[in-house]
Amino acid sequence: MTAPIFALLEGLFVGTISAIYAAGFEGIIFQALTATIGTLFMMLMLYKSGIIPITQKFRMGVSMAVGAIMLLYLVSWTGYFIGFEVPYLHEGGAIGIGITVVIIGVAALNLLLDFDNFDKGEAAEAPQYMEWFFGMGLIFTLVWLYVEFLRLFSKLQRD
Amino acid sequence: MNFGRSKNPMFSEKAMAKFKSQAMDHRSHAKHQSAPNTNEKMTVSGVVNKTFILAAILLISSLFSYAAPSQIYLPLGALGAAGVYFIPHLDLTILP
Repeated sequence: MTAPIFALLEGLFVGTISAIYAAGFEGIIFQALTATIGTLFMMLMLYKSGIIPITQKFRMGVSMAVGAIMLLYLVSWTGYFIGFEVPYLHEGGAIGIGITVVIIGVAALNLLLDFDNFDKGEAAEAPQYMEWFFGMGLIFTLVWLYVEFLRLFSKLQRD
Repeated sequence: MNFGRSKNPMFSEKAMAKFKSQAMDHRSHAKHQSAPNTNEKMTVSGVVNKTFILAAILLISSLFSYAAPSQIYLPLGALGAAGVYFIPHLDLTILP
């Protein structure tokens, strides 16, 4: 029951954060949802066309970028409780918007790794329960992308 | 493509050997406890189907929390989902 519980909890998070942003910014959910679905299909087309080859270096680079961003958010979150703020991360303005755009770029590239995992898992004849594992990975990336789009559009509306 | 030579930790020889041994363990367990059959291999279409199922659960859950928001849902959802996401990294056979 791990995967359905994961989706249920992600849903609670997504619904609540959407309600918070929707209270402050009109039409933001539709914008973020459209941008997320658009990015998903664009990255799927890029993957299928082979324009961006998924090499070991590419995979390592994206994984390191994701790790760095997660670490940044962890520091920011810890800072929230002990009273300091990571500069620019949650602020508007050109630098704040630029940082969010870069994070969205990394999340979008992470979708390519998810698609590549599907193909590699099938080719390696992984057991059937891995379908749930890879499905969870894709949902995780999509939720991350959606939240980043919410943050981006809120910053754009604020400025 | 030779996955045995990949440097990706997910597809390293050690990880693939772990998949296989977990699948073997599960198979012998299944004989006694009628657990799901793990002889079947994963497919891309299977992943897509499972992703749609998870997306449907996520949608229903998010509509519920959107309609009746609560302060507890945000940390519960974020920390809970992150925690549950990493559990299968320890033991893949507990999936789904």
